[in-house]
Amino acid sequence: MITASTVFDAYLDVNALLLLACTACFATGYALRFVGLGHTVLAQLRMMRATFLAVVISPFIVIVFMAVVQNGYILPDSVPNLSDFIVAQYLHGAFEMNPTALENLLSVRSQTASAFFETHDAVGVPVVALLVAGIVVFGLRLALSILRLRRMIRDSYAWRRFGSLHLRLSDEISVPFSTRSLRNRFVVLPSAMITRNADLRITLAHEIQHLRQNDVTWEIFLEALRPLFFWNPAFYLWKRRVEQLRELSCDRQVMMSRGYKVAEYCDCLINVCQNSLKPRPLFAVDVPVVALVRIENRLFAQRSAKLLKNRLFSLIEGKAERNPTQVFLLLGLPMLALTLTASLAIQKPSDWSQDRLMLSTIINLERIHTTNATPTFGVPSY
Amino acid sequence: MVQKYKFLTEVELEFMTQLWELGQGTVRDLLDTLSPDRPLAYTSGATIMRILEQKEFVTSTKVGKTFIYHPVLTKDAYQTRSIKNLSEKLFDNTPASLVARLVNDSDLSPEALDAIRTLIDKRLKDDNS
Repeated sequence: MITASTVFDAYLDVNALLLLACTACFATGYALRFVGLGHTVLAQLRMMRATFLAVVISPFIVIVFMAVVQNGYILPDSVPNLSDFIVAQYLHGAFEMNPTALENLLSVRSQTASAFFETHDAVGVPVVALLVAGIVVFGLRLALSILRLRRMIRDSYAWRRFGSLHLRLSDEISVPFSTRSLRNRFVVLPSAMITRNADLRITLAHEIQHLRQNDVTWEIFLEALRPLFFWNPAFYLWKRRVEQLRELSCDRQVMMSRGYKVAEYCDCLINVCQNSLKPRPLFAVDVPVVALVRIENRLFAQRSAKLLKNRLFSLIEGKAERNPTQVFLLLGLPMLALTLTASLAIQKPSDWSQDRLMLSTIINLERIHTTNATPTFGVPSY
Repeated sequence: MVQKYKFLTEVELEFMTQLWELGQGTVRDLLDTLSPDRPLAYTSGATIMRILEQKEFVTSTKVGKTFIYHPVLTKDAYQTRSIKNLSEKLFDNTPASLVARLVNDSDLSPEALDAIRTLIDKRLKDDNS
């Protein structure tokens, strides 16, 4: 039976795994830049997306894998386990530590889950309450942003329609964006743009490329998961990096396939930014869309400016990305293997290994030693 | 429920101004009346007119392959709507403040002030009778 404790355990695993995968992906990004392959943006984008998907579905993969192990198709000893590995290293003298402290460190996760769901201790209950409150608040924000988006689309004006693709014009927006529902895809443009033909052509090509690359679907998927990861900084770092790679990759694809002039394209990006320079509320609710340029409030304005600068530099540099699929496979497969191995390795050990028994014995012997060393114990009081 | 009025963007206002002057017209008629230093593609003009139709500022009738547009809202009605909106948003819904700002404007000539006084007197007389 699936208990609340099991679900919470899986939730912690996914968060820890996201942190690990984020570190690995960022390290890969830095390494690629170091060796002069920083322009492989599409391959990196695919790698990050595949890894994120692996992180999110990892609890189900673990369940399937454990079922396979239980049915005897794979030997339990061949399944990697992080805590068993640490204990083995400890017993082999790879590092020194108080055995009780090591035991406490290894059992910190099960103790946390127990504190939250079984013993109802003074720290556990407020933390769970905060977590649930955060998920509810961010869930409500998501619902609000969807309603706001629906209203924006409803209040916009139909321009053209190609099958399920709707092109619409709006008086309310200054930055063009694309989004989608289950059946329909929308590109919404500021109505003032209709008189700027060059900007209009480039913007349309850019937004349609986003829809082609499934960037919009991914954005909605990430926004839908935000309430679950609202406290995890790795999620925000991840999303930010994916947004950067997505825009760089989209710019390059549009430039390559349509052959626009670099100056014309850069002008379009700057024009849209210029037309959007108006103060935004500090806590404005973001809607799940993919916009041509990112405009943020004063607090994060530097980040938006940096992204725009990177995009302009990348366009001017104009390095072509060769064989993105092969590069993706080269980067993505080891990353997926690492993520899935880590998802298995961070599980609780299914049984007491020899090393664990040894550690437990050491702890018990230490306790007996401490007890015997206590002068008052066993000494008659007469 | 309070009805949310629609307003015109800059380029839409240009088209509507021409249409109010012409009474009715096709996209080509309107494009011809625009300033020559403002080159606008036919498709852009057609899109603007289609938006105006969705905003219910104009209606169209199809004659052959061409659409002829007619204004639904008069220029006076739109001016009233715009002034009301300005009064609500910028003058805290107190039209007196709006008029005060206008009257205090040093660019206003004595003739213009006289005209305003005449209009106010006429309105007050009409209301009393």
